[in-house]
Amino acid sequence: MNNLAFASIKDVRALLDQKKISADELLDFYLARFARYDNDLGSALEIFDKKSIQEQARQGGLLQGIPGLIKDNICMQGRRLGCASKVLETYKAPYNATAIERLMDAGSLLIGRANMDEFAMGSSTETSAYQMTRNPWNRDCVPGGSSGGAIAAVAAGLIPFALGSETGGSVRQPASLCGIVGSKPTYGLVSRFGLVAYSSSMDQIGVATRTVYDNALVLSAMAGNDPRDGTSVTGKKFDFTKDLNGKIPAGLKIGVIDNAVYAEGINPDVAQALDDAIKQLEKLGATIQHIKLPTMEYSAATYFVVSRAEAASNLARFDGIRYGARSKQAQTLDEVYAMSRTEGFGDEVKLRILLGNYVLSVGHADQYYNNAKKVQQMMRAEFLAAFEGVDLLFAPVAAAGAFPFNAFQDNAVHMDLQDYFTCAANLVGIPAVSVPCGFTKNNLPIGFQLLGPDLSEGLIFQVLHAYEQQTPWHTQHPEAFKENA
Amino acid sequence: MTQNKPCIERDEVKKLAHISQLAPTEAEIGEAATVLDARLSYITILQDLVADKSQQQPDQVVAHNVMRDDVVKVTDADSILALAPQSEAHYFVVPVIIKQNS
Repeated sequence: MNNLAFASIKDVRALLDQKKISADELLDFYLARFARYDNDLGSALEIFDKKSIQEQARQGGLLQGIPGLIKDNICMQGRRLGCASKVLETYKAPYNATAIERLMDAGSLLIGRANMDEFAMGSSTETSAYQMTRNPWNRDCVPGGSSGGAIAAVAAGLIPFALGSETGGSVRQPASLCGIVGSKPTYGLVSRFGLVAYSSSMDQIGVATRTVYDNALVLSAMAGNDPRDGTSVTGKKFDFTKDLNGKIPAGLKIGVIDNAVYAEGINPDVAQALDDAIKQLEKLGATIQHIKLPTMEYSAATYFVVSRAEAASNLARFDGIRYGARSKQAQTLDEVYAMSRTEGFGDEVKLRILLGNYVLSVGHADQYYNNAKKVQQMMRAEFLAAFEGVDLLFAPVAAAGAFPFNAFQDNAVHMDLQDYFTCAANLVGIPAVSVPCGFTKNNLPIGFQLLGPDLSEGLIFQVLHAYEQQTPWHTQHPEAFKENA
Repeated sequence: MTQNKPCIERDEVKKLAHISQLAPTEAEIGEAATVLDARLSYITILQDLVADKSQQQPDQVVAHNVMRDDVVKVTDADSILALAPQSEAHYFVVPVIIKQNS
C-alpha cells in the first residue's frame, strides 16, 4: 500500500476514476494512516470522525474524493478553530473560509486540523500550545513552521495535500525541511476570508503537496476573486496545470540571486544541492544569469518589524469578551482583558505583541516601522526591476536542513532568521514555490525556490514540473512511514 | 570597551505590557527586556539602509480602495453569542464597568 500512501493526487484520481478504489475506501485508508502514525508524528490537532466528514462531502470536480488536512487557522464551519492557542480553546468557526468553500465545491474531503506554531508565529511548530510535531525524516528534528503539522502529514504520506498559510515562509520553509512542494501564491490570489489574521499585508493561504502538479491543481481550485477580501485579484478562474508538459518555455531566463545562493552560512550540502539544481535548470534549456538583489539582505529585519506591528494590531481582538477564553480570576473589565490575554497567549505571541506595539509607538515608529515600510517599497522596486531582465528568480529556502528541537531556545534572533530567504516574496507580494532538490549527508531534505512576478504561478509551476520530471527527489519518502516499516 | 545602551529598558517593557493589555510578572518583564533587546538590536540595520538610500526613494505604492455592495444580510446572532465566554439574553456579558470606576 506504499503506492497509495505516497501516491499523487493525479494518481489517486485515476484510481478513483477507474473504480480501482472507492472514495470510501480511500478515506478509510488515510484515516487508518493517521491512527497508526500520528501519535508519534503529532501532525494533526484533530481528525474528524468519518461520518461527519462524509456528511459534509459535496459533488464536485477537480478534487472529487481527495482528502485534505487544514491548518488550524483556517475556518471550517462548525469545527474547532484554535490557531494552536489556548486563547481560542473553546472557539468553533461559525462559517467556512472561502478557500474551504472552494475546496469543498471541488469535492475535497477535509478530514482534520493541522498543528502549527501558535498564531503562525514561529519557524519550527514548537510554539504550538498543544503538541510538538516531528520531522518525518528525523523525528528528533522539527518539521519547520509555522505550518509544520500540515507539511509533516503530507511528507509522511498521511494525506495527499494540506493547506498552510504563509506570512514569511511558513509553507515553503517546512516544505523544504520535509522534502515536499510548498507554494506561496501572489498576494490576493487566494482569498483570506476565514483565515485568522496575523500580518494582513502579507498573509496568504498556501498549499503543501508531494508533487508540483498536485500543488498547481489544489491552488487552481482555490484561486480567484472573492468580494469578501478587499485585496483579492480580479481574475475568476485559474488553471495552473495546463502548461505542465515537462518542458520549459523557449528562451526562459532565470536569475540566480547570488547574494542569497552564495550567502555566508549556507551549509555545504545545501550549497552543493543548489548548484546541482541550477545546472539541471540549465540543462532543461534555461539561461542562467547571476544577479544581486542587495535589499534581500534586509528582508528578515523588514519582515520582523512589519509582521510584529501588524500582529500587535490584529491580536488586539482576543480580549475575552466576544469569543475565546476568559480568565476565571478576572473581576474588572481591565482584568478580563489583561488576564485573559496573559493566560491565553504563549510566550512567543506575547513577545511579538510587545515588540509590535514598541515599533508602532510614538518615538519609535519612525525609527522602526516607517523605515521598514520604506525598505519594503525599495524591495518591491528592486524585485520588479529584476523581472525586467529575467523571467524568474532562483533562491535557497533554508540555509541548512531541519534542526533539532530546542536548538534555538537561547537564541531567538537565530530562530527569527529562519525566514531569511523566504520572507522577501511575502514582503514584495510575489509568488514563490519551493521544491525538494536533494538531501544533506544526514539524510535531511533540502529545497530551492523559484520566485516570479505577480501572477506568474503558471510559469513557476511549469518550470518546477519540468525540473521534477528530471530529478528523483519527489519519489523519495521517509522510511519510518512506509507500510512495511 | 563601553557597553552599548540597551534598545529597550524594563520600564519600557512594563509600559508596553500595559498598552498591550498583558500582565507579565516582574521576572517575565526582565526576560522580555533581554529578548526584545536582542531582536531590536538586529533590526537597527534598517536605519542605515534608509539613510543611504534617502535620495532615491521609490514612488509610493498606490492602493485602491475596494468597495462592495452594501447589502443587508441576516446574521445568526445565536451562533455568534454561542462563542461568547459569557452571554445573557442576546447580550455579551462583561464585568460591571461603572462600579469599577466609582
